Amino acid sequence: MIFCACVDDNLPLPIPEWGENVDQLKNAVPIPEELLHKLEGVYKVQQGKGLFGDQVVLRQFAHKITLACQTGTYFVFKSGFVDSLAIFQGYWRFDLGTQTGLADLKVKKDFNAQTGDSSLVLSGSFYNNNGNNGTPFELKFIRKFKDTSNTFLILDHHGGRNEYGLPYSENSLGIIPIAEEIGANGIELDVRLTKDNVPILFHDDNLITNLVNGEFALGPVNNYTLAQLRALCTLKDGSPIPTLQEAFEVILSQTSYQSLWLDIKTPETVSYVLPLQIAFLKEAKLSGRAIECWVGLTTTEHITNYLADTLHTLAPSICELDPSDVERAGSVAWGPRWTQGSLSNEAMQIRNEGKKVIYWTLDKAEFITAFINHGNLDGILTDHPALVSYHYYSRN
Amino acid sequence: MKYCILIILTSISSVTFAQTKDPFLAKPFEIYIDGGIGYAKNISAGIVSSASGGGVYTNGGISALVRVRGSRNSFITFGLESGWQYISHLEERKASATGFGKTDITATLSGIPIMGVVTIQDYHIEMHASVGFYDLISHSTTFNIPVTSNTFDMAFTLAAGYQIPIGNNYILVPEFRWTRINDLQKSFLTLALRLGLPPFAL
Repeated sequence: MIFCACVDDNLPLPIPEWGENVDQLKNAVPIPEELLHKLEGVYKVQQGKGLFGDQVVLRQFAHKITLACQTGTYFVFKSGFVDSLAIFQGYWRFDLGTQTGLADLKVKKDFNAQTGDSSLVLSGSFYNNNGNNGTPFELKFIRKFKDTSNTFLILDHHGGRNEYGLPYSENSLGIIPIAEEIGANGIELDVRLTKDNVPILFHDDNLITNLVNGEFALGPVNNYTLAQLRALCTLKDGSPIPTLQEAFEVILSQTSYQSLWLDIKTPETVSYVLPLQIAFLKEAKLSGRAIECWVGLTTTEHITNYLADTLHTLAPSICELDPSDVERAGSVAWGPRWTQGSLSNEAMQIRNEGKKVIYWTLDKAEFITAFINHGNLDGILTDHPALVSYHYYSRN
Repeated sequence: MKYCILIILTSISSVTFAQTKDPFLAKPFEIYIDGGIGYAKNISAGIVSSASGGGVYTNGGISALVRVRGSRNSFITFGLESGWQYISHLEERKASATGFGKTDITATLSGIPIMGVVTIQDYHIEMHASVGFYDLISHSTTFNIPVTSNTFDMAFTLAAGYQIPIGNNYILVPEFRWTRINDLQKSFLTLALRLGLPPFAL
């Protein structure tokens, strides 16, 4: 038992990769995004149900496709045309554990003629981490999505939590683009201040070993300057604790997120974040990006500091308190905790005012479906974006 | 998992204690104090390491322990232990890639255990099992700015010793100890020599 307690289950789990000699996509012709988009829909699993469940949701993201499964497993595939076939190679991961492996998928190059009807069948195999012990599977198209607007927000909590065996640490620069691959169209990041008042991404008050390597960096984060943090510790994936500014740059250059929720961990952080948030929104607008960025208001002290800052009128916020506080802060979104229930009347009233309602943090399938079905919401903050993606897009 | 271990160890010791004659009934206001010093060697893989790497890194060192318990004669007895443990030290005088220029680091990590201990003793042999916390204290200086910071971390100890009477109710106890500091992910083997004082009547 004591030795069990010694295992570090917060270390990142690398993405399995196809070896050089079995990489079928190295000389492939890229498949146009609009063509890949036509593959989107709900598919019935005809073979290989163990890993998938009865059906899967296929979504396209840039030149990749993602399969979100009923079981909490997801697949991420790169794509390309090779001879007469459209080839997809990638990996699978069980989102609620540490199991992962390789997978491939293929369909005839002229699949465009079949998109939207049940004659479209995708066949492939999933393997272990080394590409061995292949198990065949077959997916048959059932229907298009009920909602094709991609406006329902699926926000990944911390960009992905350490305990779910992701390839990079939570609140790291590496995890930011990964969350999008697995079904998120938004991201929530935690922001707090260093001793020299630099907003950084870090969740906890203290430098705990679940989040960082570096035995000499202990205790409160704000005991240390940014330079000291960089000298004394790293995140679990070995990367430095990022600044908010660095995260903004990655979001703009490497993702197509629609929304960004900044969870401000201490009230005094608010006034240091607003100028950066405004500059980020301005830069996003200049580069033609439609992205919302909200500063999170979690206590009345947050609201007081927010309203006291003259920049607040230019800095949209999401308030986690009561609807009256949403009103008082002039927030553009409300973020109620899911354990309070659906709060249908309040949610409807807020939405009628043109504001968004996003529940946090929904992780279990039964609650995800219950909240989606009650309908008065614009999005869900979750540790499992693939699971939310499955339940939202598989609705009939 | 760590709470599981705490509960199980506590439960085992409680059950065992309930089955033995209460030592406090015989001499209710007597306590025994042992103190000693030893050397602790780190035996863990070192998952938790310095970010910057390089330099001179020392892992393990002097360990001091004070143990207070209810009896030296009963088969089983309970007590408390504390002390001080030198855990690690880093001296780095090279530039490192922090983006903030030359990075000189001097850092020391030490710990103060605050633990409950169950002792089983017979034929001069002592077996100890402890559960509690280490107050981990880091003194670091980087970019010429000193920082002292601390955190509490759950810890477990198993120890075995042999009592050598040296007269007037004093004993010497060579002791071998295994310590695990949980979140820090470090394990130590310690060889120590303790001096047991005569009982204090309260």
